[in-house]
Amino acid sequence: MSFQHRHAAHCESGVMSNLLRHHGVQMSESLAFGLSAALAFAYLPFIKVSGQPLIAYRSLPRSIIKGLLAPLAARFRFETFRSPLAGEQRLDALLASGQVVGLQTSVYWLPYFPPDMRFHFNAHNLLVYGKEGDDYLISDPVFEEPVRCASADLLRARFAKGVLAPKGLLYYPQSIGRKDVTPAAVRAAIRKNCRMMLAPVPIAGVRGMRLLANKLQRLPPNDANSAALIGHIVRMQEEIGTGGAGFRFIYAAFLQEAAELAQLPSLSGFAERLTTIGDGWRGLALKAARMVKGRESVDPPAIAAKLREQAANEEAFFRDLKLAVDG
Amino acid sequence: MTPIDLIDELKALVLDAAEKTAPPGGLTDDELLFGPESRLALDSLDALQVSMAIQERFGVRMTDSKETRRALTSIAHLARHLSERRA
Repeated sequence: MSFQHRHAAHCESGVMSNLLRHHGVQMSESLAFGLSAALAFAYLPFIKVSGQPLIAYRSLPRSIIKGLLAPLAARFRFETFRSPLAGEQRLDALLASGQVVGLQTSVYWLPYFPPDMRFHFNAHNLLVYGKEGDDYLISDPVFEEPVRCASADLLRARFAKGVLAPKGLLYYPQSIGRKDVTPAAVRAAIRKNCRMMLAPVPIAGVRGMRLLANKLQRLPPNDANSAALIGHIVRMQEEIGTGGAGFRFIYAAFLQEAAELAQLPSLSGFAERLTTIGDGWRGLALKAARMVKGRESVDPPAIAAKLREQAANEEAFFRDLKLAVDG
Repeated sequence: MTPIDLIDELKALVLDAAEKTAPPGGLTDDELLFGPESRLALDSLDALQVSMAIQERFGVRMTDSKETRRALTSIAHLARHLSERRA
């Protein structure tokens, strides 16, 4: 099968970009990310990752896939399986019929990842575009070149247990109604993302940042748990997906594309402004990293102050962006 | 800046940003920088510090943490990456 792999910064947006391009839709990674309104912040203290609260810088897993369906008038089929054997047989049948198939997997069980980059994250997306002998031919967008994976290893990655267990999830398009992206779809996606970031929900968007800042503010500096939470914040930001700042940079690239697509030249200025905000996230991560490494004294209120600054910048940014798109 | 000057500067920048001392005999151009088998054993937090130092020194923004890890495979790899980005 002829399939063109393209490297991406983030798995789900990269998978959708590659899969849609395979089906004739001109879709960059940043357009896939922005059109599905995937930029987010969420502080979810009731969901634990390694004993620490989940902190997310993008929308929920699968939301990029599902968020692209309406703008493209597309229908995708999603299938999960009770047994690994059934999941494997279904994947093989789809490949034999010529489908390129998306999978949700665990990073930890994919042997082509360098050992020091593997961790228990169950929502890693990749595409399978063929099978040769016992090897699946894989387009994993976070790798520069296509890779191969033995069937037993891929099966283990598809049926990993734990939070966000993939249950063998596979997906593929059944129909794609339109191959172009309309200005109206771009504007609607930007409005949706503005609403999400400014939502009156304490754990989401800029309010979620402030809730986490309040939690940090109260942490005692000399408690080991304080350093552990700060370390967790920076790891969630730098190791999941493409980094918290990375998602801001992807959205900035989307705004640059959107300026032309939605015929709103002012969006170029917003792209530059969001890139500066992304630099602020990296500055926050750098300060947190220095504390975790013992290169600065642990100072939770200082991280809280940086987080509040980010919240203020993003609140002003999304209010202005909403006005620009509504106007 | 010649390629040799760039390599020397990057060695100093990586050690300084990650606050590491040079391993015995100094860093070589091609030795691995990440992982338990490497002498420097950089981790993701070191990578962040190095990428910020590179942005400040060379004006190259490394926006993706995985891209940064790949670029930081070795000093020679990093020099090639920067040369391509600045071209």
